[in-house]
Amino acid sequence: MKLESENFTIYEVEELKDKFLEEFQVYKDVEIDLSNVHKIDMTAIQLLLSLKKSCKDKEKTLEIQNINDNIFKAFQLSGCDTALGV
Amino acid sequence: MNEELQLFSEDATEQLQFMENALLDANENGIDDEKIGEIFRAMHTIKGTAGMFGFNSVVDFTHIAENLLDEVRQHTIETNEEMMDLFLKCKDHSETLIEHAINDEELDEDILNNNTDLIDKLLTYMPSNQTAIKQEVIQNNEGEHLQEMVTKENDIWHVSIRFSEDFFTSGMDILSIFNFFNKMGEIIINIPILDKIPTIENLDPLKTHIGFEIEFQTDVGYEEIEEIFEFVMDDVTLAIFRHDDLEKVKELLDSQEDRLLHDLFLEECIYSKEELEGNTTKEESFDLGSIEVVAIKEDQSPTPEVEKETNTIEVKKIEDINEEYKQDAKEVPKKETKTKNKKQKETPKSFSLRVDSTKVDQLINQISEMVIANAKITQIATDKEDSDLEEAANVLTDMLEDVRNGIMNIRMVQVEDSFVKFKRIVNDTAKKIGKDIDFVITGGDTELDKTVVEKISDPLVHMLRNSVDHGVELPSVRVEQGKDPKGKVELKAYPDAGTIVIQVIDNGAGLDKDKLFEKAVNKGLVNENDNLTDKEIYNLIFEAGFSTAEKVSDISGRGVGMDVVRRNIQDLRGVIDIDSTLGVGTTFTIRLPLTLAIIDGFLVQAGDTKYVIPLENIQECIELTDDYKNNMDGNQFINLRGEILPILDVKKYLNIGQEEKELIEEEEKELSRENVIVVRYANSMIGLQVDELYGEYQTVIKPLGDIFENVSGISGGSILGTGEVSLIFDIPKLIEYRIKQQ
Repeated sequence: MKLESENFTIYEVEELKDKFLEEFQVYKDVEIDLSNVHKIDMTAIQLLLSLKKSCKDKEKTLEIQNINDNIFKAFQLSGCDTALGV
Repeated sequence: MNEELQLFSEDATEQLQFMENALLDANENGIDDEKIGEIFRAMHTIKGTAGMFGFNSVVDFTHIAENLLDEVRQHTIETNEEMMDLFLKCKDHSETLIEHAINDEELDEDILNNNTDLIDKLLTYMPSNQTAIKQEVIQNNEGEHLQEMVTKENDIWHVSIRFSEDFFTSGMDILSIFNFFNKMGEIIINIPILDKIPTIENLDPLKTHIGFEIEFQTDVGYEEIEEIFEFVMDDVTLAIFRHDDLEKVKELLDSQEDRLLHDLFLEECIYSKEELEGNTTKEESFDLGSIEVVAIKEDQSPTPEVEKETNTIEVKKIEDINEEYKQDAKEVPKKETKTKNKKQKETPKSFSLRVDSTKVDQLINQISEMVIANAKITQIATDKEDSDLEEAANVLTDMLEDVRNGIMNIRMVQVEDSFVKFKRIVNDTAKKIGKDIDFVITGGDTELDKTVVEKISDPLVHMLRNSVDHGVELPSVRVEQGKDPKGKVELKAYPDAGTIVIQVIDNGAGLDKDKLFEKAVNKGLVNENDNLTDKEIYNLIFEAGFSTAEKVSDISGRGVGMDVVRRNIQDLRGVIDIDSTLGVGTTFTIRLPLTLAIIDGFLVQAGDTKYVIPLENIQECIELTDDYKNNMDGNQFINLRGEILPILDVKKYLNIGQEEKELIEEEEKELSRENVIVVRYANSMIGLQVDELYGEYQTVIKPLGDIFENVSGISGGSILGTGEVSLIFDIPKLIEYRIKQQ
């Protein structure tokens, strides 16, 4: 799925959690497209980590696509880049 | 503004105030290490906290100022007056930057220009090769050589962070915290702790489940790292220790329920198996920690991108380093760690708490409720003639009183901090109009309710400006009159009989009674034939629209002001008084209650209700004898020693029902006397007609509910020991009402 919003932060995570969950239940390989996202915070990273964990448990794959520099830096800063497989 | 931002704003204001105080003090009494330290700490703290919020403009600027201050602190640069002046400007500029940052406003061109200007000036003082690594060699007793940088400038710390579940909703983003870490040093390794994160079905995305283990390379110490979390201390569990402090590592691992962290440390090569199992001696581990640093320094590449391999790379480098270094590095960091640890233990931090004042108010309220509950117990004890119970209740009463005083004490602050900032105002004002003034503060340690201190600040500023502008004469005039060309303005505070007295004293021209009177007549404030006392004439300057300054300056003299000053002081239930001698000087005396939460009142009863009249408004009490009543002749006036005193019947004013009133009146005639309390506010007096007088009564003011919002003449309520409610009169409102009636 592709995120529509520019921000992926504490204000969006609740809604996105439901969407992610749906995505997770429907598809075998989950794809999250972040090309629109320019701002991210730790709630978002935690949500992605949770999704990743769920995928791993169910032997699904999670691919996070189109990560721009800002977002990538945030992943790196939090040390979560490896865990997210980006 | 959210809570954190509010805290930041308060903290920054306080720090800037410290800085200004220290700078002004330095200007006056010369600079010393302590003051420099204070100024440095202010800039440093602001930089630190601003960084947390990502206020880059503030961080960038304060960083440069801090650098220079650090040089000064280490005595590498001498200070001079010009530099002090520059720091004062930096303080002002920081204030502007912070304000803009908090309000999320763009910086305009002026500010930006000023910014560059100040930075340029700051940089000119900096030693040119400041960034170069100091190559000074320390000679120790054994004659060994050691580069200072090895131990002091860069240490690796381990920071373990866990968050409370609600951390996210505190408004602080963890990424900002990491960003700030990178401003103070560098996060070499950041390991997220993921095991607590639930799968997506069970995830509450607003709850914090993630944690972090960080290897942080920095030249700052433990306190500074801890300070990063200053605003979120309640919501985090921290362990901060030097990377090589294996005991602390063990402590951290032991505090874990499982071995996950242990395994993670091994997996991520943060610690070796030997280090964790304790198979290695301490020397070796210190060795590793400090030599890593040396290696990085020598290499001049403090950014090891290859994070996870850091350890292995450093280990390889160890071989490159000659034996001598190894020896030194072994010795020194050990000592340092020890002394640092010791220090932390020996000096328990004295700290102050920042508490929302409403919390304190709430406590005061609850204590009052307890007093009331206790009064009931006393009542029961008396009714049942149980002396044991009565005695116990008395003990409790005393203790409650102590507790209440203790809580009231929390609100008390020394006036010093607030007063010191006036120094600058006085100096600036004096400079502007070419006067030379010695500003003296006495009794700065006097304590006063914080709210009162804050509210009294503006009126005091106005009065001080007035004293400088109108009171003290120009040096030439003073010399002519045989006075010291340097004028003196004194701000004095002292406690006096349950109140606090603040005086503004100048040794200037004094007030000219005749001129004041003439002016008042011209303005139609008084009649030419009025016979006024000196005090009454002086008090004319508090009338709206009255200004004696022949020339209106931009500092004072527009005649709006002294009336506002008086109103502000009266709002604080205080009084202001003037004393003056022509040619010698003027003294303004403000008398304030210690606190706004407690009122000294006089308890009276009218009808069935009890009322409290603020004691400071009461002039006298008289009995409404038949003589007076006969003279009243149906009018609402009595003749008080030849003067007409308007009377306000409290029962009538508050519209106690007619039937009820008649009933009461009948009862009264038989049971009680009628009394009049003469109350005064400013220059007006009226008499309040009530039934019963009970005497002085100190009580805690409680706000009334919204229903009473529109009842004019009542300022609050209070609960009596018996549990009855009494209402507190707003005397100015009552007087206003009565006089309008005329």
